[in-house]
Amino acid sequence: MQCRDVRDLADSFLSEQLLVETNHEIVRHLETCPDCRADIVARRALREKIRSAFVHAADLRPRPELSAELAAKLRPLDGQISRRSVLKSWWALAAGLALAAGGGLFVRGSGSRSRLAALAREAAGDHQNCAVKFNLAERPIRLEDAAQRYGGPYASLATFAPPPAVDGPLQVLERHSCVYQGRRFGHVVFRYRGALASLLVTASTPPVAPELETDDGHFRVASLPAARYLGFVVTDIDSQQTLRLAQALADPLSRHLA
Amino acid sequence: MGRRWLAFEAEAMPHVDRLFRHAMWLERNREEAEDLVQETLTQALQSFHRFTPGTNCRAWLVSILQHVRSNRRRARGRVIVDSSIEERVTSTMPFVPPIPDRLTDEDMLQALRQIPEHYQQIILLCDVEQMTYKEIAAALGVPIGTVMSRLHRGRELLRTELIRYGAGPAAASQKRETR
Repeated sequence: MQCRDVRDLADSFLSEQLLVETNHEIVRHLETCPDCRADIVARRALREKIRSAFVHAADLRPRPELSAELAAKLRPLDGQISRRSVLKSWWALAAGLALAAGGGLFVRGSGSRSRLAALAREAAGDHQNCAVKFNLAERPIRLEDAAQRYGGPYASLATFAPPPAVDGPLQVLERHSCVYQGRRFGHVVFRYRGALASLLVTASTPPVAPELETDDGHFRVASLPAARYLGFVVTDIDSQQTLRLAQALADPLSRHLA
Repeated sequence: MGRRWLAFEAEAMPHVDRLFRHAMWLERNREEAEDLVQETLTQALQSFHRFTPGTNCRAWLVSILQHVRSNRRRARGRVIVDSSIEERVTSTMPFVPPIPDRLTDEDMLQALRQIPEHYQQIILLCDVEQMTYKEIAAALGVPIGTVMSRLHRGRELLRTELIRYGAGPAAASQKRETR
């Protein structure tokens, strides 16, 4: 790759928009070309300066009460939207029920339980493919970078100190943010009782209290509230120990993320 | 309180500050910016069932904000982009040396204000909001190739502006007066 090619691709390189092979080619070129290296450093510094100037500019800052005012205006709208949706879907629902009765279909469990069970399976998949196999399609990123890009619980998760758990000490091995099947998690990998355990936090409605979700023969998954977010503990130790670990983490984690 | 609102409050409301900054940059008027943010969040709440949890909520909201603003401007009959400028810039692009180190945040934003608006938007969406090219293309309704070319040219123009600011206030103000 020539200097001109690197300069043409520099912005895409910094935005992490290139194929892995092209990235490698650029990195190889940068190792031997101080001019392009300096160019990339300057471009990165410029991007950082723009971002910093924008998020700190006093004249772009909203009024402190704006967020609360907007919430107060939007909250009643939610009720109107829901009522409209209910009316719109009444006939569809009636037809659906008739079909269900006629065809022998059954609605199993509540929507909330099936949603949590589906998310628990994703958490188990993330634990297996990220913590155990290093086999994710997308490279994990630092929690600080995830916080910058997506907001959410990621920055606080970077400083969460786990409490002593009931059945043994928790040793933090790694913290990052990763994506599994389109869902982003804040991920803390522990060593616990001689095995790998994951604490995964994602943007979704939290449960009221820790609860065992799945035991698929390989992994046990317990859900837990993490302030406004949904947390999971995934382990390959037994179910009761997994639940106790989730219970030990729930309060300190919620307080830390709040 | 509805589950939809609780989820929306957790996912979307933490981004009000950044949404407002974005709106304020585009509108340059507090009342209009607040109005734009309110309409954006209203539409987002109505369409919240289309948002995929775990994906980039801020990018989703910024996309809605861009669409709302674009529709409003279209309704007012304003022309948004002079695409011919891109061709002129391409043919006159000079070699750009590195930017000076001692620029303040204010210099940076002033310089950004000096380049055409559609370049400003792309730079903000990419560098500040850290949206992917695909997300930017969807937000602005342009092809990914256009995002890439505008980003490249916008950055070069910005660097040229910044060098003027680095050369001192006189050079920068002289430049502004010639516009």
